[in-house]
Amino acid sequence: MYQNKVTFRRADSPKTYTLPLSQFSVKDRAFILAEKESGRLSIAAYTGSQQPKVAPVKKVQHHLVASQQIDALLGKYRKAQGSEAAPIVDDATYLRRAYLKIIGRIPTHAEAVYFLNDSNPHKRATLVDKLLDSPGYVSHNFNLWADILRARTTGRDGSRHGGVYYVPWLKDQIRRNVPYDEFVKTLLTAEGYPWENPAVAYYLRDFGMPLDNMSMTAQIFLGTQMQCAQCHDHPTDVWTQKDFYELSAFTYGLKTGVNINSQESPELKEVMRRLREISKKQHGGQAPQAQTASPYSAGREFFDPLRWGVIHTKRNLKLPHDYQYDDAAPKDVVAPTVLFGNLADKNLHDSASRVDSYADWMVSKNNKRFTLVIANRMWKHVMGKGLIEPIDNLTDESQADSPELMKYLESVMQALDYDLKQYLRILYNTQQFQRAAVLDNPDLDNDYYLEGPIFQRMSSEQIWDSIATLMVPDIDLKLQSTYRGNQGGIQYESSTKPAAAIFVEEMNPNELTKHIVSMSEVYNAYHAARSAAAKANRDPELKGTPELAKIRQASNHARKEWNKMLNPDLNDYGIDAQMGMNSMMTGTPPTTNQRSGKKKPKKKWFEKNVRRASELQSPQRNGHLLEVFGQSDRMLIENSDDGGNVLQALFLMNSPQTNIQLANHSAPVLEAHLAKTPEEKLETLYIGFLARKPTEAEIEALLPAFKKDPEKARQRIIWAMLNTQQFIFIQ
Amino acid sequence: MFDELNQLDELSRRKFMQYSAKALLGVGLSASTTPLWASQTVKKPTARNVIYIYLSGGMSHIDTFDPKPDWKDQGPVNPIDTNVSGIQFSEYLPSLARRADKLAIIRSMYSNQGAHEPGTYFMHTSYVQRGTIKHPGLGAWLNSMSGKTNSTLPGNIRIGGSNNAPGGAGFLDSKYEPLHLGSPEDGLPYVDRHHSVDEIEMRERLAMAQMMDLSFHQKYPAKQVRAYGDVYDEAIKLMNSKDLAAFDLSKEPKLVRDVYGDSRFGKSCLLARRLVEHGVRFVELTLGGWDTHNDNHDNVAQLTSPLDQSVSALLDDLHYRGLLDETLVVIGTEFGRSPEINGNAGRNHHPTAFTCVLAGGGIKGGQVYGSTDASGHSIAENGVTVPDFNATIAYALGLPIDQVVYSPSGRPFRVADKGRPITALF
Repeated sequence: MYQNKVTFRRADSPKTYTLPLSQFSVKDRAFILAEKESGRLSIAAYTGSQQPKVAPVKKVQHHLVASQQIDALLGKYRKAQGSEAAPIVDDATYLRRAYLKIIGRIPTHAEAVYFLNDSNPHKRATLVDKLLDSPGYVSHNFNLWADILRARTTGRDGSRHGGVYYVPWLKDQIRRNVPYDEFVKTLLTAEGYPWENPAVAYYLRDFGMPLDNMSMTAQIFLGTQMQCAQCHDHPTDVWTQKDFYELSAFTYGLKTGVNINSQESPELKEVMRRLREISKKQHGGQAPQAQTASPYSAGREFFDPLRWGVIHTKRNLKLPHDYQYDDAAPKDVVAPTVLFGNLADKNLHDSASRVDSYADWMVSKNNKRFTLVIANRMWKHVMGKGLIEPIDNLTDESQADSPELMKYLESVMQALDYDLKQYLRILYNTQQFQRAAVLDNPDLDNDYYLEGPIFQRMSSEQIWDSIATLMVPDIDLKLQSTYRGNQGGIQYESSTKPAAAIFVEEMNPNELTKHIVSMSEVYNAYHAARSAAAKANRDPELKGTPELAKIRQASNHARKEWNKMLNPDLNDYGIDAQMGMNSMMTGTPPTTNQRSGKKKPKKKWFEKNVRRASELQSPQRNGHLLEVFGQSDRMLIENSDDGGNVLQALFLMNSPQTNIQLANHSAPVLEAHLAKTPEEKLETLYIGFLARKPTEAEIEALLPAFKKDPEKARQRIIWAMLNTQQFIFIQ
Repeated sequence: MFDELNQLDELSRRKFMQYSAKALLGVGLSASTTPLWASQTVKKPTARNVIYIYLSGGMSHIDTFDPKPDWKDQGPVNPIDTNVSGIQFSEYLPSLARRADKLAIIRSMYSNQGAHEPGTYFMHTSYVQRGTIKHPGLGAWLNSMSGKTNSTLPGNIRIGGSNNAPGGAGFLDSKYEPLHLGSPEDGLPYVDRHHSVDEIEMRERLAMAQMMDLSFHQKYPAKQVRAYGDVYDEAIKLMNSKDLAAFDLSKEPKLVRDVYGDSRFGKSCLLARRLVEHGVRFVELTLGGWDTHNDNHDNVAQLTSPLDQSVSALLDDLHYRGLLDETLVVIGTEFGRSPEINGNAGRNHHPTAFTCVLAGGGIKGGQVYGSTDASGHSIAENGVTVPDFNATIAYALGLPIDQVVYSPSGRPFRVADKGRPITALF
């Protein structure tokens, strides 16, 4: 399992040689691993997989002046408060923290050894740059944004509402380090279908609830929680209900959901009309009902994906019928008006231009809130707590711990034109980031004075990713680019247009109608079999008989046949299935939404296709380790939890993973096998699991047993390390 | 103010003080709570436990507990007499009909939430779903306000149902989150020591972890870190608890298991009884599939089969073990179904009138509360809102219904919002 072989070739010959790592001397081994760590040895090319490129951060020196300025302002603040700066942490502490905070996992043994032994005086800054450029950065930041945007690949949100397209797209945006203002504008102005424009999943996420969606937008990007104002004047903040509606009026013209029987979908309107006629004729002049078998209903099922998109309409927002305030009457049409500032472009004549103006206003440099919120949010991402808390419930009275620092951070964000990676780089290079972590009691209001970053538990994803790191080499390279979802029998897959969409592009209404009618036989058979099964199921005489089993089987079979019709092989129709979308296959099987027995996933945990949390379903199902450790269910914004519960403790104590697999097959263990002395072995384990060397006291306590019965001692030591609190907390 | 609760039997006084202190600390409870709450809502609780059976999808009321034989669209189902004169059920519920003397049928439920997710949310929390806060469910309220009776099993357990089901801990402390068992047969995951580890080795390992953490604990005496220590203690207690046997259905004689039935729901009901016996105060079971837009009668006939058999078995079992008086059995659903039959022989969502059932826990059996009109469309008398229904459950448990609790974000909430309990049911 562990890649302990090296392939090399001489400079003058194409022939390659592969030897186990153990055949090299310790010095050579160290050299090879160091070369790999410093990036001069390319592992990706060796395995032959194609990794998408991560946009590197600009290694500009003068930006680091900003880091110094931040430290200076912090010093000024602390002096005024009479608080002391926490001391700078040692290398081992810094190492673990940097890896966890920048790329979301603990360092591998090789990475740790490399850093700890590096004598470069600027190694911390070098490490920051290296980590920012790595694929782990994408994985870690994806978790953050998926939580904020509630991006899901499961259920309806994953399939119909475009999750399988949205999630890879989000990762791509992070990978390419798209400027934040551009990213937000793309989200807010999105329209169309998710396979052509994945950003529409932002609106589809709150399908049919445009006002709720507007609340989300205000919360995420303006840091304002207006949802109270949806129904009445905000009780504690300045927003009135009318303000809320006036802002919502900008995007109200956008509709989630396309009526395929209307002009909203001109191609299909004609097809559905014809199908309705045909169905009528077949049913003796009666209009077809929604769910009885008819060409019309077959058409509705087949074209279902085309009902879930975002389009502009002419509809206007009206105040609710029970509007109770004096400044307007119930059901008045609302004119779009911004909460503060001015619109740059006063062109509001139709939905598209309204949305455009609104998006421009939102991301404009004149919108101070927009900058403040993201600057504060990224500060929290780095330091554990925002300068203003809560980060998305700001009011006019909200004050930063250090207003001067907050202002400075806003100016930096603007100066960087919303380059988030560079902003993070500046923060990671401060002294502040290197200070000892400070306790912040959640029950007390004023006990934190920016002495250092906040002491916190690893997030659920960090825990999972760290365990994965211990088991799987090059875990950052095991990417998932393809998700699958299923709704109503239709398969949705990343980078792939649903068949219905392709058919509509390639065929005219006549051909489409004919195609649907040609499926009638299978469709009718499916309906009949389903009814027969329902009837047979309730027949008490058939209970438990082989006849019943046969009928059920027939129904399943008919369902499968119909599903084949819903998801045709395009080649059969002479349609080129290539979409021109970049489908990056990395050799790992696509993540599907299919329900599998709960027992199965647990068995397969640490086989070769274990991946980081960002590469799994978003979110994970109940019972999965990620959920047990508190992963957000992505139903509410940033809904994750970092509390403890009994199931976590039971897993850490009693699972086969912590008792057998990690104790016997993890990477540090395999490294330890190569070490010669018990002292070296012990040190290897400590560095692999806790990213530090054992203390004198620990050596004294553990070495004797280690010498006596190394196997048993090793299992015990590893178990103990995994069950410490220092393992799951970030110092 | 929890004097009444102190009089409960078997509540470990120390545990109770611990839990209620924790609950109060995190919660904006001012000593000067309005005297309203003293007036009618806190009384000596009649129920100590709740078994909540949730029928997800929206149970058709006129095909089950509220038959309308003279309605044109009643469909191919007839009413039958129950063992209470004057009350009839549909013929799909013969066993429950013979136990109607234990049931209180509330036929006048109504709500304005006609979609599944909002409807289920409303039913579980008494609040309308908002994208911005999660409200606690009754199990979490119960455990946070009056603690667990048993110190080793979790006080709030959910069997079956979906991952994102509403009615968890909400904004209350995450320790009140229900323990979710996907299936009634699997038990708690990893609750046994790994087979390669004996008790002595386990103790050695725990001691070693403590040793490794010594300086860490000194350096970071944080509340969160200490909380993990507590969690481990709880987990170990659970591992050594004799009450774990509660999860082992094979310990029941075959006869009993047969009476409950072979279905997953039947097993869940049996497990629920065992858990309540071992001191778990709130158990929720889910029986899904009630969203009968197609082939309503075929499907309802199928669904009522396990419902009828297993709930009857549960009621009998609780009764004969003397647990029924202190265990409130609830049958809830998010809405009813349309009295009209649609084009697919189905019924559509119908929140304006539906039926829920209460039994045990001090409820007077053999009664019908409220009624619908001749077709089952709307309420005729004594309408009961969803918050009222939940307030009734809270009332039975002795929870302070008028007490205002503040979420961490400073918003005010109550156990059942503004619901008023239906005292006539007791």
